Order: sequence, then C-alpha cells, then structure tokens
Amino acid sequence: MATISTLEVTGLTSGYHHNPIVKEVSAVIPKNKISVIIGANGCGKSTLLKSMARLLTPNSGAVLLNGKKIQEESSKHVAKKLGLLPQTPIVPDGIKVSDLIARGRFPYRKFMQNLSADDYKAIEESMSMMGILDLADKPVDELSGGQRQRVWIALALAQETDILLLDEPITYLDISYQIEILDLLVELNKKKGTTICMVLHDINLAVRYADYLFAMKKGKLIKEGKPSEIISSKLLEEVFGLKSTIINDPVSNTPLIIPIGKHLAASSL
Amino acid sequence: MKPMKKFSNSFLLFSILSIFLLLFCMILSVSYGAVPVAYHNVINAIKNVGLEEYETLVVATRIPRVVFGVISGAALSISGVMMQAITRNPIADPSILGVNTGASLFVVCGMAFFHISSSYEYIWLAFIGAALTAVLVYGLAACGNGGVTPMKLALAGTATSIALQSMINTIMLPNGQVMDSFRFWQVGNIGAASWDDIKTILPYFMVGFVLSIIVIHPLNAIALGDEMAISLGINVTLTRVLAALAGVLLCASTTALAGPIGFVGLMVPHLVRAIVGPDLKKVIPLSALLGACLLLIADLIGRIFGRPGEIESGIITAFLGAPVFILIIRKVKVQSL
Repeated sequence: MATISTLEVTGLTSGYHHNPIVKEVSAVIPKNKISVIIGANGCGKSTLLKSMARLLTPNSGAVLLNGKKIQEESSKHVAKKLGLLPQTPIVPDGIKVSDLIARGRFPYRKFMQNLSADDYKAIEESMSMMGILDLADKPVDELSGGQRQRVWIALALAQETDILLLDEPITYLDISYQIEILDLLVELNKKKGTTICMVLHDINLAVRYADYLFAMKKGKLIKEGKPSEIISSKLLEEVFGLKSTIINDPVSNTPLIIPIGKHLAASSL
Repeated sequence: MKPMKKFSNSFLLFSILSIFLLLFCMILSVSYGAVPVAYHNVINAIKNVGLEEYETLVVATRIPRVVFGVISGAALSISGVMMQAITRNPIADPSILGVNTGASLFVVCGMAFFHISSSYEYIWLAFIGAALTAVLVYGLAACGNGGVTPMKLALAGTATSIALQSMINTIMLPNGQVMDSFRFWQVGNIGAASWDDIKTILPYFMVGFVLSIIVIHPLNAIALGDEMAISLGINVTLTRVLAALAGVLLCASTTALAGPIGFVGLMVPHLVRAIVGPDLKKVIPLSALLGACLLLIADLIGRIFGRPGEIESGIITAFLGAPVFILIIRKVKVQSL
C-alpha cells in the first residue's frame, strides 16, 4: 500500500447555508485505519462526513485530499480516491445487483463507453469480497436489508478508492447484520488497506471496531484517539450527557460502556 | 460468476420487436384512413407505378404525417424520460407537469398579440413557455416540507396547468380568428403535418436527442441519489440543466407544431422500464421507438373511429394515458408508505 491517499480537514466550518453545524474542526483521518466519528444527535458528525465527501462546501477552512483542497480538484479525479456511502442511497426500481454495482465504475468510464475489462474485474472482485456473487442477477429491491447494504458497499468497493466514508452504514439493520457488515469492513481494511471513516450510532460497536475515535459535541471536535485511551465515563458524560460505567469487554478486550439510566442509578452506585 | 453481458437477450429481442412494430405501424398508418389504400399499393405509390392518381396523392399526403408522427412520438417519449430522470419521479411528464400547457400559452399569446404565424417562431415561443413553466412547477413543488415528492409535483403541475389553460381560454374566447386557427391545434394533432414542418422540427429534435444521449451516464448516477452521484464524481447541477434542456426542447418543438399531446412521455417510459429495467442506455432508445409507435397508433385510432372526420391524437393519448397515470400514482403511493 505505497500510495494511499490522505484526508484531513483544517479549520473547517461547514453546514447548511449560513447556519454552521461543524465549527472549526481540524483533524487528520488516520491512514489505513478504521476511524469512527461519535457524538449525540445533531452534533455535526454527519455534516463533517458530508463535508469531507465534498457534498457540502465549507463556509471556511478546507478539506484536503492528498494535501490539495478537495473543492478545487476535478470531481472525477476525487471520485477515484475517495468514496462515500450515503445514509440512504436510492435503489432504482427493478435494477439488478450487478447493474447497480457497475454504476460504481462511473469515475473510470469515458463518454459513451461500455464497461471495460478492468471494470468487469473490479465489479466481480468487489462482489466476491462482499460474498454476493450469487446475487448478481437478482433485483436489488427483493433483497434483505443486510444483503442490500452489502450491495451498496460492493458498489463503493468497485469505485476502487483509497478512502471510504460511510454515513451510519448499520443504522437500519438487525444486530446480526450489523456485526456482519462491520466485519466485512474490517476485512476490507485489512486486505486492501482502505482507509475507512464512518459515523456510527452504537457507541459500543464504535469502540470495538474503531482503531481511532473522533468525539464531537455541538459542532466541535472535543477528543480524539484510540478507544482504549480516550473512553472514560467522564468523556461519555460530556459527549452524550450519559452516566455510565466502563468495564472491559471480555471478547474484544476493549472498553465496554454500560449505561446507567435513571432507575438503576441509586442501586448500582 | 457468469460473464456479464453488455446487453441481455431480452433487451435485444425487445428492440427488434419494437422496430418491427414501428414499421408495421408506419405502413398501417399510410394505408388506413378515410380513404384506404391497400398495403401493397403503399409501396407502389412510393415507387410511383401502376396506381390511380388519387391513391398516389393520398399516400403522398399521408407520408409526412407518418414521419412527423414518428419524430413527435419519439420526442415526447424521450422528453418524459428526461423529466422523470431529473426529478427521480415516475410521473413526471410534459403534460402532467404543465409544460405542454405553458408552451401552448406562449404560442397562443404570440398568435393573438403579435400575429405570429410561422412554425419556426412557434417553436421558440413554445420553448420559452415550456422552460418557464418547468421552472415554475418545480419551484412550487419544492416549497414546503419534504422536498419534491411525486404527489406534490403532480399537484403543482396540474394546478399550474389549469391556471395556464384558463389564461389560454381567456385569450382565445373573445378572439374569433385565433380561436378558429387554434381550436384544432389546442387538442394536439399530427394530421396537418407537412414536409416543411418536418424540416422545421428536425434540428430541434436532433439537438434534444443528442443531449439526452450525452447525459445517460450521469443521469444513471443521479438515479442513486444526489449524494451518491456527487461521490461518483458527477456534476449534478450541470447534468440536470442539460437534461432539462433536452426534455423541454423535445416537448416544446413537438407542441409548437402539433399542439399539446399528453401522456406519451408518461406511458411509454413506464412500460419500457417495467420490461428492461431502469438503465437509461436501454430506456431511451426503446422509449423513442415505442413512443413513435404509440403516437401512430393513437393517430390511427382517431382516424378509424372518427370517420368521416378524425379524432385528434391528443384526445386518444389522454384517453389511454389517464388510467396508466392512476395506476402509476397508486404504485408510487404504496411504495412510499
């Protein structure tokens, strides 16, 4: 993995119109690692992710891909380095799995050209990696939520980017599919060295799967680092306003957060 | 994994069938009518041998009608595809969005106030009217919560269409001369088409068609949502502008010459997508072919059932299209629940 792209934000203020949601955030996304942005609803984690994927134009500050301002690069060029899986992408009515994944090859296709041998290779590889080769001819709207999410990730894989951003990739899935999807992302990260940065709602899954955490509150980045180093009940209280106690996860040996809640607080403490 | 084919067999089969259907419709369209001409004589008439003079004449006058029908049918159909792709909305169509009525209003105004009478000028008036209406309706539908939903788009289009239609009536009613020349045009008809009309419309059709081909790839990406499209390196705004230009150009040029013919752009792409899926690379050419077929058939039905006169094709397409519209709306509603 000699030439993996780098992604960083410097002094980024961004949001909708004149209402900044992300305020002066500076961060370097660790190369070849899985990083997760955590924070309460409305803290700006999705906005930060969308700004990094150039869906939003910064009010001030910049997003730098390989040291260059992402807004000033050709969009097609960026699309070969940086991919995004939005929270709710749209499945066109009646589209087949292989056809959907083939659309991940847009950045590589010339005007009016058909799919090339390289395109087919990339499509097939990404399907094989996601374990959905046998679904190739199935209509996407007939798949289960977990299968569908694999298809979308396969599309992002077919894009062959060094960096993959995911906006809440497991939010609408059953717990077994959540684990399955996160395991697939770990595999992708290990095999191809893809830098992964995502927003997750489930704090315990975030802690278990992330190499690196970014904790946000009210549009600011308030803490970052390895989960084992930064997770504390003080941080959780600060970020989520949640009282909790932290134990060691016996399976992964990472911190495990036990929320306390209103009714149990007295007896357990 | 099975090797992925560029085009599936079903697409090829469907294309070939469509081409044959179109040829069949064309021949039928030349031979049928108030004065029938036998099929084999159609060919003879074109070769100009062994026929009564009136038969040759009948064929000669019907051929431009057929050619014009093919062009307008294809144009309306592709225009529908463009509007559906831009809005990601299966019921977007020049007639439902009120774009046709906007084009009509401008043509009628040109007729009544500026005494314009050349089809070349009609096209430009229709184009401006159609473009303004498209922007207005989309803007109306975008107001309020929840963005542009299929239902809001249909409501905004219908409301605008009714308002514009009443303006057309206001201009026409006290104006006997305009009313006479435009009563016929108002319904939408390809019967009066001449070779000159074809020459006038062809450049606009070609530009619209080429534009629609250019935006196939990016529109396919936009179908996955704007965020996904941007992430795939697509210039979403530019694509939408080009596609809208193509859609408005195609429907306005047809409307300028033939009057508003509704529902072709709604019915045909819907049927095509149901058969070959949502890939625009397949949807656009097939919609063009079948749109041409549909308009010829509508024209033919109008001639057969309207004897000794004719029922305008715009009435027939509306008659066929209304149930399809209801069907699609129901389906969309079920999905969004």
